[in-house]
Amino acid sequence: MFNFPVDTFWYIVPWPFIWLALGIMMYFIKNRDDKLEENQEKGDE
Amino acid sequence: MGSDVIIFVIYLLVLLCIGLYFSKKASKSPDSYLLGDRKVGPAVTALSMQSTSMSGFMFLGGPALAFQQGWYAIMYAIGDAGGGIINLSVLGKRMRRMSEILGALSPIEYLEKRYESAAVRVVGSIIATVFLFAYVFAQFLAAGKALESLTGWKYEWAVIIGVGIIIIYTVAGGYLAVVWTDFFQALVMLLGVLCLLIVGLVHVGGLSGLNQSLSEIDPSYLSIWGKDYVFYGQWGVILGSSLIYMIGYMGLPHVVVRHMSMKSTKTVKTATLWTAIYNQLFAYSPYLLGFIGIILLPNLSDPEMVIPTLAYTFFPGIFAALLLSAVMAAIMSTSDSILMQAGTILSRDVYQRFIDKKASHNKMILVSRLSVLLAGVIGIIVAIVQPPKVFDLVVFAFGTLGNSFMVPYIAAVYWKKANSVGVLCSMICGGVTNILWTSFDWQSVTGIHPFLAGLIISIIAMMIGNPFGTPPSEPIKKVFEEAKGPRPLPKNIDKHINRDISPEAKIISTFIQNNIPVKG
Repeated sequence: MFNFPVDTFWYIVPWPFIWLALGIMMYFIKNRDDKLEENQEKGDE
Repeated sequence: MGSDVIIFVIYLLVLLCIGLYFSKKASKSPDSYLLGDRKVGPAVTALSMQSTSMSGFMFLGGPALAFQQGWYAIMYAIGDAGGGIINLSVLGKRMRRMSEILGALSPIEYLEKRYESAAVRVVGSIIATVFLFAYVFAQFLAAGKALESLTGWKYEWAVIIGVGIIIIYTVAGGYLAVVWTDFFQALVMLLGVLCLLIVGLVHVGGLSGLNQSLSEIDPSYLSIWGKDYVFYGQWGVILGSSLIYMIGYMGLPHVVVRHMSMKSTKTVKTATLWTAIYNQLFAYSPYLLGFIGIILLPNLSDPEMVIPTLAYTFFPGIFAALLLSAVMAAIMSTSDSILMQAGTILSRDVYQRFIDKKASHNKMILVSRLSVLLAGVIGIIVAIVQPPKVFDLVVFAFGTLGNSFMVPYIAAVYWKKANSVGVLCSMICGGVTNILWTSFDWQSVTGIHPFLAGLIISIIAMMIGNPFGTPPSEPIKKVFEEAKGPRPLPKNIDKHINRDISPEAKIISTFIQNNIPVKG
């Protein structure tokens, strides 16, 4: 695809998708942490 | 004066206005001047972090590497594209919490307070000052070189005008001026490079056409091993090329300070998302333009000028104006952050820590402003007197800073027992390894990139040195636990919690209702 040699294609092309997926995953993980923190703060009050 | 220069001058004036707008807010307290009162939101945190991380190298050195080596150069972009996400995810929340609890206003002060050692601050300040200056010299050189070739101004005047503007808005508006101008410049960089890339790809027949033409010129351009397969099988080089920007940002004081200035720990999640999107759009584009240059500019004598030459030869008019602003945005957004950090270290970590501990707020703001001014003037003089090559200087300074500080910053929030001896060993050994590896070109002998070598030595030095130091005090251990934030209960405990505590809960409930103790 895109006239890449096969190995170059697999070394390079997946990375933008990997990073984007990691960014989205981290968003949800941090969101869960925020909610946990909020609950704890409410509990402290 | 051409339309591109007029647009660029307007752009500079906008930057000046932003700086002056924040000058009043910056004068409130040292906290406001040095850290923007820790009130920076997610979009500004994310984009200013990216524009600060991605320097003039992105428009000059990076495309030059792509022009010379082909697709191997994209390894740097792959690291760059994930660097911000990793940085925010690993350090973001914990560093934000810990720096506030410790009351640290600079990343070096933060290290001293976490590791309870003045020696850490002294060594950290020396390493940071020397290499931040080296880094900023490279940026000033790039600024002068780009302005000279794009506007026709004399090099000396180009440096004085370009850098002069940076100094004025940084001195006036402090940290807030830096982050807001960086945010604005990140948008200009993205707009400039995407417009150029779209036009460039149309010229060469899209990505498929680009690769087809490259393989006709030299098939090795399409490999990840460099032109003529010069790095063939050298995974140490390939890995190091990606890692330097993937994790190296966690060792740059002027970048990690963004964690300390966030509005709250909740800023991290949205900032991560902003970073992920921005980086995928931006990080690869300058390198792709370098590849396009191989086809459209086969006789280019100075590879560092591949993007400017492309813009002015093939896409004149508005694209050239955008390009000029985008190149300068990349350089200026990094330079102002480094200048700010150099000024912070001089004022907070040297002046207030060792010369005048009881300096008043007003005096500290004045000293901070003078420090930024001093750093800027020294930078201008060095840039005018001794202009070495941009790429070499940036990689040298960047790698040394990364190898010196990355392990200490990560260990500060992930290794409770990390202490000053371990950190000093790590900082010194990591930095020295990078300097030696780069200076003596041990990469060609060992097949290991200087950053990777420095990283390995830095980790080993930390592990060996740490047992010889005094363990952290109880208050610091408590701060460490607080910085971790609330942790979810392990799944097996969470699942059985109701069953496990139900007898106790029943007894407590009976006691509250009847006000009598229950036997059994």
